[in-house]
Amino acid sequence: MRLRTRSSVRHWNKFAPLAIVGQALACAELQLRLFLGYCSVRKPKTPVVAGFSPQARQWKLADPFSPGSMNMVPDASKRLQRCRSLSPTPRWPALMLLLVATICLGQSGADVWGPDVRRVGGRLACLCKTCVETVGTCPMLQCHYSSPARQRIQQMARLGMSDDQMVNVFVKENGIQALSVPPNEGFNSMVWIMPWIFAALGLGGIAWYVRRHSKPRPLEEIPAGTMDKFHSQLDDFEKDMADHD
Amino acid sequence: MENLGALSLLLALCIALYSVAASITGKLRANQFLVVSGERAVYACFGLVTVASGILLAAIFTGDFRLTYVQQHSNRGMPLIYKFTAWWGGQQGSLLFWAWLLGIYTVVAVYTNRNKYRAIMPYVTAILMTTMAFFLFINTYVLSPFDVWMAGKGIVTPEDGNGLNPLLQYWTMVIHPPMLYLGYVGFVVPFAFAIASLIEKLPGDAWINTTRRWTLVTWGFQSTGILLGAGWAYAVLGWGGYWAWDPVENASLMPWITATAFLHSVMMQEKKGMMKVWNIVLVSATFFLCIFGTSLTRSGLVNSVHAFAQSPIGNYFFGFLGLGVAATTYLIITRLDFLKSESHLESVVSRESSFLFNNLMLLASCFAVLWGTLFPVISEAITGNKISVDKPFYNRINIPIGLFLLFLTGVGPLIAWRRSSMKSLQKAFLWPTVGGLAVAAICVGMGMRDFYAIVSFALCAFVTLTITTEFVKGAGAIRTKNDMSWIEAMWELTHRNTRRYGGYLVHMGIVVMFIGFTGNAFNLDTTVNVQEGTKVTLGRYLMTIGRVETGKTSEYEWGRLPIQVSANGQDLGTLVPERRFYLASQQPSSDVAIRRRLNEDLYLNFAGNSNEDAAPNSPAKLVLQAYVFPLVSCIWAGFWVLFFGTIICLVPSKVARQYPRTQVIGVTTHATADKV
Repeated sequence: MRLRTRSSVRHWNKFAPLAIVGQALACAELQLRLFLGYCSVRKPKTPVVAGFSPQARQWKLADPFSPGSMNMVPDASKRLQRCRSLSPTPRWPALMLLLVATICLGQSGADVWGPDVRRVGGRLACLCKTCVETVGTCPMLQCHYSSPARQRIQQMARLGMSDDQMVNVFVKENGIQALSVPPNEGFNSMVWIMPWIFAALGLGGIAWYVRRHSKPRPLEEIPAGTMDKFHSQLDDFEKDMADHD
Repeated sequence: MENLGALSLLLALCIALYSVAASITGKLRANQFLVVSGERAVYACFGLVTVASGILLAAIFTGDFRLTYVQQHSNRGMPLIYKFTAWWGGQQGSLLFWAWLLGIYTVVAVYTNRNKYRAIMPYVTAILMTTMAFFLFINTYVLSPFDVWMAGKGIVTPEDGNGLNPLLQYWTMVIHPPMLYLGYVGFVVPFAFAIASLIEKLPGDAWINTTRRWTLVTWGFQSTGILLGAGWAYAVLGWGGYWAWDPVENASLMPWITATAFLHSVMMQEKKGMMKVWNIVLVSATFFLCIFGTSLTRSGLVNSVHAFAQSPIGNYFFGFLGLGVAATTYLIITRLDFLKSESHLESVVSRESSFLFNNLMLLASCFAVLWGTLFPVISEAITGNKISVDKPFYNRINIPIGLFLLFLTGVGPLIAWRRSSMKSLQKAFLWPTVGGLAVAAICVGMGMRDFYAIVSFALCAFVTLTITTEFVKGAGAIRTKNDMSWIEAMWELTHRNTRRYGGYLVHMGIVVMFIGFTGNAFNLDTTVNVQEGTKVTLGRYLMTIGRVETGKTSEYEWGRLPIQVSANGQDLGTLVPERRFYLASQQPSSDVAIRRRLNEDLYLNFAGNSNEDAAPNSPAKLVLQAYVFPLVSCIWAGFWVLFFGTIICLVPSKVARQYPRTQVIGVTTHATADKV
């Protein structure tokens, strides 16, 4: 068993890359045929998946090439009719590819936020004033601060900006409070230093306590005559013992 | 009725002030009648606060929406149990609840000590009732729960109330605030005894003997309150977190930390007569942090999702806090001679030293939390710039401190009082250290690379082995001597010294909780747009989304998302997270679905629409948040071990323990010896 840490995990549907490539190829092939006006498309014997219907809340089964279909390109119906009458080329390989690709993509949950949001968002504070989370970990999907901030991070990442550049954009707009922890400079370095100063002072206090309280107290000075008294009592005791004998 | 409620609070305030005056005057003039009168005033005051609370509750139950508080925190559609929780759901009601709980504590403290500690009881009564008077003053003159809606001079009666915040309508929220308040309020009693003992210069450690159980009970309540809050956050907020280092969470943690330090250092005073000043400082710090925490949630000093609405009571609280701290500091400084240590530290390698380090680490952790909470305010006041101090700061500072504390938890039982020889240390540390290192090696072998996680698991093994060794050694001796079974011997051992072995159980609970905290390093999560039929993979789980079901109750509209879960080809059943939209408060809320197991939880949150403008149940816009939380159940399991250990500590030992002071009078020098 290999355990992974949270930050590095991105959950891909394992068919997703295949689906994306397949769909791209299928679309390219079909668009090319439509554009050139050479394709000959026959009406399919079985319906294929055209897309998800929000109204019906179910997958819509339809001919993807019929006019009005969700996959139909604008102004293509006339060309399509012309194409149907022209070419005897079978279209099923492209359709199969499209079908498989669509199913693969359609059946996989798509991540709402990517790794850029997690990584860069982890350095930015959520300024919604109701949580102490970072933009990357704020759990409120509709947070008025984190939600747009995540979208901006995605956009900036697409433009190829580095992490520091993205963070600086937020700092310029909102000041250093945009950072999840203050920078270790100037007065703000106190936030990092003080806990350790406190611990060091505490250690010093313990050292002082140990030094002071482990020092043995000297015996009090024996009052004058005590030893003489002791010796005389000892003599008396020995004398008594001798008498008993 | 609201007039009767307000009058009850006013009378209670007057009686509390009378109690303070009568107790102090009676003590100073040696007038027992006044002292007893002051104590009886405690009962009267509690009775009046109970009447006021009853009237507020009656107004909530009957839907008397003329009252501002009732209208803002309840409505007709709320279930009865949540109507009851509306008592402490808002600012004014929670302050009244605080006062009522303080009344209970005061009554119990005064009644149980009616024939004991007569020298200090007048001061105890006065301190408790001063605190009571402060809260009643706020409730009477600043934030009254009996204010009515007024428009001009006419009274307005809204048809229905806003209802309680939907997030608070969860079963742990019925218990969490009372538990936390029982913790907050309960620390007043040890503080009162400590200060009274200081004023009176009471010889001996009577206040410690009296308040140890109080402190332990209160600490138990506080622990329960904090864990219930964590459980609530985990199950309700929809993101699976149990601790966010929110200022209000921090406010509850800080007094808990200082109280924990006190429970350890108090043993030094009992056994060795050491750290007397320190114990007074700790018990006072705990009380003042409770007041500080209470004000933090109400004053608007810091922003928090948990805080009550901003109100003008911050200045009153900080004034009370300032006076209290000043008076306590004065008392400690003027009585330093009375607080001198009776014995000495014989060796740095001793249990006494481990307690010192334990206290240092706990206090350092408390300071870091306090500093992080207040630093944005301090920074803004000094530099004028707003800054954020969020989770990463607290984790970076507190994780190493927490691990060192865990290490000390294991070291403590292995080191003897007074001094330990190198040989005994080698013998005691050998197997626990080997066990800890073995666990670390296994973790690395399993592919774990998180340094703190590896150290944490290793230390958990180390501490577990030390505690187990203590039990096995003790029970083995009893078993051999009395011819008992292992279970009987364990029981006998624990019963003979409940405090010691109950304490070990509490430590074991902390270890189990640390295992749960460490699991946090391996969390998995994903947030996905889903539709019916969508498949989502997370870790070993495969989730298939079903069709959304919708419905409506008198309180809220709901949408349920059935999700078929399987792992490694095996069907695990259907989880149904729910999204609610509360009609009265116009707020959405999630009811998450959790598949709880000891090794990991699968946590599903139907987060609704990713687009606010979309129709509520538009399937194309559904968002699912799925999490896998390894070992998180250990936190809740650890709490139960901790709770059980605390109960054991409270049970009187079979053998009455007395702690003869083992003090070093001095050592003879060569010169003195020769002289003799």
